[in-house]
Amino acid sequence: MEEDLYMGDDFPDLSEIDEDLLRAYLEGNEVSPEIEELLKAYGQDVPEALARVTVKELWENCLSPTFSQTMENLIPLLLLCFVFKLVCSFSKSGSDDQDIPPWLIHLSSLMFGLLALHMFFQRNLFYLVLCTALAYLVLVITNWRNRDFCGISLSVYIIVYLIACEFMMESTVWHSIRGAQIILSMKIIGVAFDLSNGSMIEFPDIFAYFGYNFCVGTVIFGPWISFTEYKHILSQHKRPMKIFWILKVMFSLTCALLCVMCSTCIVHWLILDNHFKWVIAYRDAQSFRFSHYFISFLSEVTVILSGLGATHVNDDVRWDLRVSKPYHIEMPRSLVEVVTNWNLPMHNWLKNYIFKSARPLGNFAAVFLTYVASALLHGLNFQLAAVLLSLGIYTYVEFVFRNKLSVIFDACIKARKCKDNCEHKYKNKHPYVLAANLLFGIVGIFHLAYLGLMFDTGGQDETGYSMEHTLKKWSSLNFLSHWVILGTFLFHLMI
Amino acid sequence: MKILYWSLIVLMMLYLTTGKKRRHKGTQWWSLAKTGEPSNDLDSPAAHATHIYTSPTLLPLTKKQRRLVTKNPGTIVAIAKGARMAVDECQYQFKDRRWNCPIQELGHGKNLFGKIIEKGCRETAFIYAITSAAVAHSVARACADGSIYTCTCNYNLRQPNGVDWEWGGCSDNANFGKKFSRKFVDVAEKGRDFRYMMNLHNNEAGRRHVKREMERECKCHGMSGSCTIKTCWMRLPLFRQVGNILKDRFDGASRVLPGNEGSNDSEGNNNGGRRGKKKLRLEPADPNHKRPDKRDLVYFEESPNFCDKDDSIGFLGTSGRECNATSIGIDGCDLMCCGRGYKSETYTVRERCSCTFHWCCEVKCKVCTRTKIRHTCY
Repeated sequence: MEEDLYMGDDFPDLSEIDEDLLRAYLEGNEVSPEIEELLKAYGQDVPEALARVTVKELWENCLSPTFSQTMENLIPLLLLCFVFKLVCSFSKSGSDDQDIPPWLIHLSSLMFGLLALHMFFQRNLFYLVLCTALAYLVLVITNWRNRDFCGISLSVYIIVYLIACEFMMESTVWHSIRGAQIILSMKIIGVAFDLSNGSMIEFPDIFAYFGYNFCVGTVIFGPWISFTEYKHILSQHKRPMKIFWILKVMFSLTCALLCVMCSTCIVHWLILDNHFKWVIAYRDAQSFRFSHYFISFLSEVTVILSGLGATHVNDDVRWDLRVSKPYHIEMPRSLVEVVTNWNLPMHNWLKNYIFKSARPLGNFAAVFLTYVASALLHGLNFQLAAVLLSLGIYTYVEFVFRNKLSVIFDACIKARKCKDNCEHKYKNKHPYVLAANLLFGIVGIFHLAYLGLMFDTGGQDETGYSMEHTLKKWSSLNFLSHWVILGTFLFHLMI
Repeated sequence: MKILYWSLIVLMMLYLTTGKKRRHKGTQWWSLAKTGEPSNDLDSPAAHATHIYTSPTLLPLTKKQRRLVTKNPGTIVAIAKGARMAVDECQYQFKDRRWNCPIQELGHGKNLFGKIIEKGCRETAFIYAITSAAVAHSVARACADGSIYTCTCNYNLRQPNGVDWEWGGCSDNANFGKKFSRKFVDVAEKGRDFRYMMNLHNNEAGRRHVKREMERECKCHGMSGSCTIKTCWMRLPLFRQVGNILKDRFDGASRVLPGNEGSNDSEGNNNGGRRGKKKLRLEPADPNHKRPDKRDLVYFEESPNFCDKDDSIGFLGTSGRECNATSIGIDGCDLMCCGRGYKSETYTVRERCSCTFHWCCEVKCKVCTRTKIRHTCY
C-alpha cells in the first residue's frame, strides 16, 4: 500500500457518493453543521491539547496499550514465579532420602532470579551480581575477623557501591536497575545485621545467600523479605496452593493493573492541564503515587505467587502480606501514617535494622539516621534526598506538634491513631476530634501534592531528575509547603 | 474591423491565460488558510451563511475534493486549520530568507502562495510538502479528538520499537491523516508531466515526515521513581518539528531530471493492474549524487535569486525588508539586500530594565528608554 503512491490509484470510489446529497450540500440554503463548526472554530481558539477525549478514545490510545504492554512485561515474570513455586512444592516428596538437597533449591532460586533479571535488565544484571558477590566477600572476611562488625561494614560497603554506581554508571542504566538495587541492598544489610546482633547464628552458605538475594519473587520489584522468611522455600509443602492463595494473587494483580491505568491515563484524563497549579501538582503527585501502588501490588503478586510472604497461625497459613496501603496514603490521618504505609516491608526493615541500631544515640538522632539511610538507599540524587529529608522534618514537626496539641486539648489528635481505651477525654469518635483529624489529613494531602509533584512524566524520568528540576518545581509553588511547616514549628515552640 | 480582430485576439489570450490558471485549481484549497479573517466582501453574517458554498474564499475545492470532504464530515475544519498551520510554519521557517513565504491577496483564481508554485524550484517543493504534511497532521489530530466520524481504529500497525517495547495501541490516527491527505491533496495533480511527478513526490515526502515523527510518550514505573518497567503510547509530533525537518530537507533538496520513461519499476514491486501506466522516474541532475529517497524534497529548476521584484513569480523583492547588520548569514544585510545597501534608522523604545528580585517573591524593574537601530534594505 505504501508503494503505489505516485499513481494515485487508491482514490475513493467516487461513484458511491450520493449525488443528491452532494447537490443538496453544495446548492442548498441551509448551513451544514461542519461549516458552522468551521466558522466557530476560528472565533474561539481553544488549544487542542486541553480538550478531554472520549472514553473510547482514552481506551484506544492509552488504556489498552498500557494494559497490553504491562501484561506483556509481566506474564513471563509471573510464570517464572509460579514455576518456581511448583519446583519448591515438589521438592519434598515425603521420605527424606528422595528430597532434593537444599543447595539445589537455592541454586534453582538463583537461576530463576537471574532469568527474571535478564528479562528486565538484559546485561545490566551484571552490576547486581557484582554487588552481591563482593558483598559476600566482605561478609566472609568481616565474619572471620569479628562478627560484631558485620552490619557496619556491609552498610559502609553498600554506601560506597551505591556512590560508585551513581557517579560511574550511565544514568539511564542506573535509573533502570536502581529499584532492584534498593531491594538487594536491604537484603544484604539485613543479613549482616542479623549476623552481628546474633539473631542469625548460622553463617549462610553461598547457595542460600545467593538464592536469597536473587529469589525470583522479590528480585525485580521487591518487597524486602527477611532471610528467615526466604527459608520457607524449603518447606513449601506446608504452604499449599489453596483458594486463599489464588484469591490473594488475583486481588493484588487486579489492583496492580487498575493502579497502573490510573497512573498512566485516568489521572491525566480527569484533571487537564488548564487547572490551577495546585490541582496540577496534586494530579502529578497522585500519578506518581498510583505508580508506586502499582509496583507495590505487583511485588505482592510476585512474592505470594512464589510462595513467600505468609504467616503461620497454628496450622493455618495466612497470605496476609501487605506492601502498601493506598487508603491510608490517599486519605491520610497524618504524614507519619503516610510514611509508615508507603512501603510496609521497607518501614519494618528501617525500624528493625537502622532505627534500633541507632537507638543508643538518642531518639532524634535515630530518626534522623533512619531518614538518611532511607535517602542513601534510594540513591544519591538530589531530588529523592530532598523529598525524603523534607519528609523526615515534616513528620518530626507534625509528630511533636500534634503530641503537644493532644496534651493541651486532652484529645485523640496525635499523629498516630489512639487505641480505643486511651486516656484522653475526647475519644476518636468525638466530632471535634474527627474534624481536627480531617483537617490535619487535608494538610497532609497538601504536603503530599507538594512533595510528589516532581515525579512527573517529564522527559527526564528515564535518567532521573536533576537538582534544577526539583527546585524549579518547588519554586513554582513558592516553597509554600516548607513555609507552612516552618510556621507550624514556630507555633509549636510558642505554645 | 481591425479593432474587432484585435479584441478577438485579446479575448483569446485572456481565455488562454485563465485556462492556464485552472491548472492549479487543485491547490486552491490553500486559501482556506484565510478563512475567518475579516473580509470586506461580506455584508452581514446572514450573507456569510447563504453564500458560503458559492463563495470562492470558503470552498475553493475541486469536485473530487468536495466529494471527499462531504464523505468525511468534520474534515473541512481540519483542512482549514492545516492550511493555516502550513502558512504559519512556512513563514516561520523562512523569516530570515530573501523569499519569506509571502501570501498573496486572494481573488480571481489567484493562488495563495502566488505564481511561485508554477515554477519547479526548491521553494515550490517546500510549499507542496508543508501543505500536504499540514493536512495529514491536522486531520490526524482531529481524528484523535474524535471530530471526524469516518476515522476508525484498527490495530494493523504493530511496530517493534526497541527491544522492550511494542506498540499495541491504535495507530490509525496518523494513518488516516496520511491517507486522507493523499486523497485530498494529490487529487490536484493531474497529468502526466514532470511537474506533476515532482509535486506528488514532495506531497508524499511531507506526509512521510509526519508519520515518521510520531512520538512515543512513556512513563516509568519502579520503586521510588526508578524505571524498572515502562509503558508507552503514541503522540503526534508538534508541527514545528515537522517544519524543522522539512526545512532541513529543503536545504538538502536534490535537483532532478526526468528519467527515461522506465517501463519497469526499478524497485521491482510488481503491482499488477496498474492499467499499464508507465512510471516516470526522478533522476538526480548530477549523476554522482544518490537518487532522492521518498523523504527528500526534489526540484528541477534553480530558484531565482529573489532580489528584485519579479512579476513572473509574484514576489516583491527584498526592498524594504529588515535585516541584521552584524550577521554574515542570509539574514545579514549584505546578502538580504543583494548588495544594494541598506538604510539605518534609529528609534527609541521603552523597556523594563535592571530588574531586581525581592524576597519573596517579587521582581521589580525600572523603565529605561533605549535607542535601537533598524536596518532596512534599499
